Amino acid sequence: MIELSGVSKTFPGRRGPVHAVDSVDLSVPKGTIHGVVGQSGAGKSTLIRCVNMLERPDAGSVQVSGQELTTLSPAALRTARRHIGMIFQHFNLLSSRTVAGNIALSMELAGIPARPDRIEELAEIVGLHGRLHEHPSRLSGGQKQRVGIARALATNPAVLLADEATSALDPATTDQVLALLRRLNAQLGLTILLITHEMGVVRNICQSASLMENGRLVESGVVADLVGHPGSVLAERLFPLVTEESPDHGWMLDLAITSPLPVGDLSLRHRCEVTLLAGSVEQRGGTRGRVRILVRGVSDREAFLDDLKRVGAVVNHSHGGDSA
Amino acid sequence: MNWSRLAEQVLEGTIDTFYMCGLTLVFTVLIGLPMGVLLVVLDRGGVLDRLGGSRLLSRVTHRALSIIVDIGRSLPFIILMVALIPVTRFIAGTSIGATAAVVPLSAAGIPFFARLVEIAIREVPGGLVEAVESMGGGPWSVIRTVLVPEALPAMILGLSTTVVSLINFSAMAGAIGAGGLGDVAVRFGYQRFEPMYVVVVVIELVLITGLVQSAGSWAARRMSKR
Ligand SMILES: Nc1ncnc2c1ncn2[C@@H]1O[C@H](COP(=O)(O)OP(=O)(O)OP(=O)(O)O)[C@@H](O)[C@H]1O
Ligand SMILES: [Mg+2]
Repeated sequence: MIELSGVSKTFPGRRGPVHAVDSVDLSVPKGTIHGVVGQSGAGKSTLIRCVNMLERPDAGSVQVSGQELTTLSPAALRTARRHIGMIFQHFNLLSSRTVAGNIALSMELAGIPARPDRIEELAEIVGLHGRLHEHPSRLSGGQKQRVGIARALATNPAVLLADEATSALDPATTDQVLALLRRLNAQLGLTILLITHEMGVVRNICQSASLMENGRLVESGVVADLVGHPGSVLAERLFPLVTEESPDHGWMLDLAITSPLPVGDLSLRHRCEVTLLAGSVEQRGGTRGRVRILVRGVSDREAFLDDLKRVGAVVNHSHGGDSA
Repeated sequence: MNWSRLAEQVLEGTIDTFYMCGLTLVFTVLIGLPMGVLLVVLDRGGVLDRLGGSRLLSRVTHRALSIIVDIGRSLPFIILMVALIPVTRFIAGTSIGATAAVVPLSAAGIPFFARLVEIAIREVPGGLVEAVESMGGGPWSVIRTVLVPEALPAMILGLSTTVVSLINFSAMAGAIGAGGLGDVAVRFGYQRFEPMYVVVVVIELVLITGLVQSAGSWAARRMSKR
């Protein structure tokens, strides 16, 4: 649905050119949610702005719904943009218009009649009924973003771009807005590309994710699979293991799991002590996450590792001898 | 002290002032508003920074407008008025009288208001422009749906400031034969040494200025339901 290949964008900077986006390839299949995470200045905003040509890439190809955007005339590009919705960190609502007026804006620009019943319906979808005639200044952040989402949906786009759409919201409101996006993805088959610096957002709604560093996508993949990739930085950040100190004796293992880990069973079968030290596990249409366990008194390490493999756990790190 | 004559002269002056400033205001808005908008959109990074696909054309047009505005703003009104006498003759057929004064007054008012419009529009958050562009809006849509409506409250305030300046300028125009309150104050108050005229005109000007400013603030506040 979104296909980027070799997309690059360089800005002239004070100390030489800044390669904000550097040969990025990215593919977001129809009906999926992809998250791009990375530090501030990594080039995430520039990348997402390249998708609807708000930023014109210096090189590479950008295809949305099978249409190549980099070669379009300005007029054709404006038409294409009507099928690509976008929502923003700071909502970008017109203070001179009411909620209804803001939702109507995208329809006006697309030349679609902004019928009151359609606006009503959109407000209903995003959970804003009864607020249509208020001005945005009277709304909370979450409500403003709902207006932004309704405005983006008004032209029935196939794709939604979200640049830090929840970064200005508190955690509870973030969850509500994410739930709305997940629902829109499920009900309308909306393809969503979102940019965030919050791993929680990716864990919460993304099927796939990329990690961006210095303009490059250094890692990319389906979230459930990433967990199984040894050394995956994304998996480590998505499912962090928080421990202050490691125990001074025992065999410590960091595991990536994609099915529940039968700790008691392992302990019984190998006549050893298995302690859970830290973990970050999710269950959302399947288990995924990472755990750190401490094993003491195991006689046959090889057999233990084989057993781990059998239950679908991948060893990311192992550390320490078994002296106990 | 002939009070009824004073009232008559002051009333006549007031009507002349209102006529000069009213007519000037029409031109000021009709020309100054688009000029102010152009000063923003033609500038680097503006929505029309490639006029007809040419960056150069935008730059040149922007520069030219900017220079015109700067000249209009930097010349003291009294000098502008004198310098424009040939132009005024050409446009109005005469350089004397209230109608003729509209030419130099507009020449002062248009650039003044254009700069205030420019400042008002530059205050509009860039994200709004981006949002409209992301929805497929072109430069004209951006101007029509974002820049002008969002800057309207600030432009209204700028308009009332412009009106106050115009009244101020019109008094100077009066001194060289345009009529109006300035003429009344100078002719009777100064030349014939009847200080009461000056007092009445001053009070009236203070009242008008206050009224215009508060009307502007009130309208801007009403409009900016932020
Ligand atoms: N219009 C521009 N002109 C010059 N440099 C720019 C421009 N836009 C972005 N950059 C530079 O490109 C780099 C990437 O910026 P970008 O905004 O894409 O980062 P980001 O990952 O979105 O960061 P953040 O998380 O802070 O939003 C930065 O070094 C930035 O300074
Ligand atoms: Mg950003």
